[in-house]
Amino acid sequence: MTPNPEAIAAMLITNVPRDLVMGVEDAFTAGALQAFGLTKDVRKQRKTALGYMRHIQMNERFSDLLEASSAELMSSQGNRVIVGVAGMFKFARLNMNTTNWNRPNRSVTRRELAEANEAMSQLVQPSLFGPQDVTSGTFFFVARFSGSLHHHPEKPLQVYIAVPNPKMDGWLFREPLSQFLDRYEAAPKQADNAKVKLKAGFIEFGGQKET
Amino acid sequence: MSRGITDFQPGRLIQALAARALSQVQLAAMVGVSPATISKWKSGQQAPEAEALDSLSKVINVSPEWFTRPLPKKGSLPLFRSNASAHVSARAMLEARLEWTQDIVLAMSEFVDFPDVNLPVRSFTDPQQIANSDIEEAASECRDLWSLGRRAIPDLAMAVEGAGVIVVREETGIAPIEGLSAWSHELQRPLILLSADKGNGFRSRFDLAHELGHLILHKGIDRSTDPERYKLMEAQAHRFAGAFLLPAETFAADVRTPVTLDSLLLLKQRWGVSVAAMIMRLEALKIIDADEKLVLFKRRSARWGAKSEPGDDARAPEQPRLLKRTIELLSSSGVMPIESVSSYIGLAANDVEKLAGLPERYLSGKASVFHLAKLKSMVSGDPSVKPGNSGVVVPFNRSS
Repeated sequence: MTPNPEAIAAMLITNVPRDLVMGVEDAFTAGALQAFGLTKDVRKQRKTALGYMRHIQMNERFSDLLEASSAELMSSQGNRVIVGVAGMFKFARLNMNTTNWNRPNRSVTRRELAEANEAMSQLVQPSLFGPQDVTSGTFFFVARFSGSLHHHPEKPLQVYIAVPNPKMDGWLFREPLSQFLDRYEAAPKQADNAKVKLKAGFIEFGGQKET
Repeated sequence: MSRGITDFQPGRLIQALAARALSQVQLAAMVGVSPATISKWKSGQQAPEAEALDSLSKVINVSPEWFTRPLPKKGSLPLFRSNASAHVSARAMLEARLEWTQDIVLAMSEFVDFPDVNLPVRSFTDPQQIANSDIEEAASECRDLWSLGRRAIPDLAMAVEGAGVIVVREETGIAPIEGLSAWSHELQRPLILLSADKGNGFRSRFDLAHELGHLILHKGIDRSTDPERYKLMEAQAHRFAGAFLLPAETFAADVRTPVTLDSLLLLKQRWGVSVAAMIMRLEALKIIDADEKLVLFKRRSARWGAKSEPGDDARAPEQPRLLKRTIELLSSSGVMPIESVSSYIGLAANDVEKLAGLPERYLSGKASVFHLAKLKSMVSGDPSVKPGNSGVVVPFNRSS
């Protein structure tokens, strides 16, 4: 099998509705803004408070979205990870700071979810063993913040859709949502149908009608 | 006393006068007869004699025999883009050019099959019946029928021609009329004529989408001179063009709010639609209100003036190709030599070249274009070369 990360994107497009992806953009933006407003008056531990509040507010919005889209697999309860389902994929959300994409694997639930990507990883890194059919997978909606109280603290700098490797220590596929959404309505290469055909009976090159 | 030729078709003379934008008096002077004689020819009371016909055909630049060809059945009355300042004779001229296009297609239909007509079917009988939601729906259906997705359409002219619509783009000399369209009963397919006078690729795309809107939405609606009704139909065709070129779900996602002219300039190149047309679409989608629209148009005029926008040259106008390809196919397949095309149609070579989008002097064989396809067909299709007579490559044998 030829390594092909585009195949992962194609699977995501087939399984995850466009409206859900756009809903995540909205939910993250609204949750982050609300968290910013609620922690504006915290004096000494504002950065920490903002991080906690983002987690809670974005979880709430994310949960609302999954409920509204009938895509909720594990609802919000205590501190557990909220998990949604879209076709053969399970998905959750993650917040990251700056470009430092580390330690998303602290959560046991996330690590367990990522194990489902064993078969999919062969699309990127061919295995010594035969290819397996991809029947399940996991991805995350990752909100990347600046990590600073001075640079856009009120919203994520970028939201990504990201498919982890089975060990949850790297990404098989990662793309900003703004770019990923373009994949949905991309027209196939425009077909050139502006062509005429000789009527049946005209012999090519002879130019006379067959009798 | 000599008699006029038989089978003279007065309708052809009327058509020719319109197509050449000549008055009876002007034509009479050029042919060397009295205006009253032209009038009699036009009304069918009298037919020109052979000598006069010869002179007439030379002045009009058609073959004499063309005047004896019966007129095909009239199509639907064309809808003209921008009616207000259009002179009657200008409209008649464009209508006649559209009829000549029909003649070309009819003549070519003897030999080739054009693409099947593939347009959404609507049966409105009054523009008042058409709601905005109907227009949005028709535009979406059209995109689905043509498998265009919801992103920018790379080549609209190719898509429209692929759906069986005959498109002509030529310089008309009448810039205020940007286009016209009609359904041909004889061909059972629609025709669109676009003015190439402004040479603006963005406007031309919008004009084409506008005419497409007329063809789909107003096919069954009687033409009327009522200005209100005309205005409504124009607004509907505009809305269709906007909806077709800028689908709500994808265009709205691309637009940054608050909207600025510069952000629209970026989108202009991506979507192939002018900033002005995008502002109108944004209002139609209620992304901006009437006040915001006004502010954007005021800033647009203040920064760029009223006539052009930055980046207008970035996209060359799309060229129709169907008629050009038809003539090339007939020639390359040996059905009709290139030099015979205009005489077969009966029109002057330069008229056929203009209407079919061919290079100048292409049909007279004097164009500086190598017709490679023809060359190949002539070689492989020469009936005098029999298979048994074909050459054999003889290897050099080393003498031992």
